[in-house]
Amino acid sequence: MSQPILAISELSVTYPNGHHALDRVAFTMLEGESVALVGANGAGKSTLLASIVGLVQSEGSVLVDGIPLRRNTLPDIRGVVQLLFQNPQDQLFLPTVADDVAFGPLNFGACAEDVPRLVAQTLKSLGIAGYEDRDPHRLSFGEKKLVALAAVMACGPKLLLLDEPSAGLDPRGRANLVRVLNNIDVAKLIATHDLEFARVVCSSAIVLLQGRVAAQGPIDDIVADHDLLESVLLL
Amino acid sequence: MVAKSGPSLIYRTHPYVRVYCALLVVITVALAPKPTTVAACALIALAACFAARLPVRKLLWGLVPLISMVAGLYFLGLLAGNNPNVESLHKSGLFLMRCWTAFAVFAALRTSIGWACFVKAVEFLRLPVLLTLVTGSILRWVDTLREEATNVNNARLLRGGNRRPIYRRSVDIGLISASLMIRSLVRAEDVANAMELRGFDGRLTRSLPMSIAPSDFCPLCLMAIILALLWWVP
Repeated sequence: MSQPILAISELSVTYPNGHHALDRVAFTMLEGESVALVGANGAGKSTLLASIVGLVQSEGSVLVDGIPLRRNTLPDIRGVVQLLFQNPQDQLFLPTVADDVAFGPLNFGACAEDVPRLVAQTLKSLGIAGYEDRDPHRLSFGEKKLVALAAVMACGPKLLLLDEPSAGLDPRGRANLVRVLNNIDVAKLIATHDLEFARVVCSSAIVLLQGRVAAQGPIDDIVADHDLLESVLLL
Repeated sequence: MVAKSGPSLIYRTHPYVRVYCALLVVITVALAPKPTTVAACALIALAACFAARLPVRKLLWGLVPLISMVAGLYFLGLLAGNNPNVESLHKSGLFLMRCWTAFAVFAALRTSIGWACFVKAVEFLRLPVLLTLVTGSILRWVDTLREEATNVNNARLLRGGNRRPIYRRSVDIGLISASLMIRSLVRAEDVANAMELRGFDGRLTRSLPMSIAPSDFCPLCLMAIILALLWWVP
């Protein structure tokens, strides 16, 4: 039986202006599972992802691969879980694609001689082989998304958090991303309000409404429940 | 050999070699005592600009701030009591030519390579990693800022921004600058988060070098010989 890769209980986030972005959120994810985190704009999806990797101060319990989320465990947690930002422009900051993809592995202690091979392998697995010497800044939006995904995948995460991965992609780029994500066998928590995208990539869903879990279950059941989707402002 | 793209000779040389050739010409033009050497370097720079397909308009625009600066310095000299003789005019002209040549060389370089290659070429010289990292970050930031400023300015123009009175336009420019500053701070925070998530803990790392063969250095040797001849031959 699969082990839990992520266990969250009583997770709350309150911003300095007093806004309760998350309110006692609780759920568990198993190794290799793909879960959609659906909700309307402002439901707390991005905040939840940011709090799992410790970018946002939170209360409650977060266990990533059995490691409790604390200030002193952040380096270990970030060796296990990676976050793909909504805007790839923010995630790519080095001169070439190869440098950007190599950045994580080098920081996590990979052998410098092995890194170019790892970079080439990762790019090839995402269908962007040969992009090594290109300037990330000059790529199309879809290509930037894939390079950003390569940059986080090269870190070898067990859990991948994706923030609105299909946003801004054309149909071809979206289909390509679906294919790529379906070929990645690590656990994925995907924040999105694109229900069709969630349906083809994920097996289950967690529905957020105003920082609370409104429902969770198999993705097909959630997508078919029009009353639920209407009540959480997704229809 | 790598990086053989583009139709002209300059694009057939290795990016590192382009950077080193540019640095050699700039150093020569800055230090050369003879006007003939400076003039020859200016011709080399001009040839590089044409080879890099640099639009002439850009090249001429570069003259505007340089002429303003040199003329300003000349007139300041006059105000300070210098005599307006032929020698001082000659010196100012030579200084203008040195500045323009350096500008043209870097303009040709900027047109023919990205900032990434420049940083890698500098790193290849084994300069301190902090220096190259900071240079790279600044160049990247300038590129991003320029792109964002262009986008914001286009958005302003498309909504009739240039039809407003000049004082309102000045206010608009001020507001846009403030907005760009805030956006760059927010972007910096996001980039810092992305770095931290991928294990960055303050240790400075060099970027992955480009492959370069000994034969790639041939154009650099040729340039060094030409510049040495220009310097020493009367």
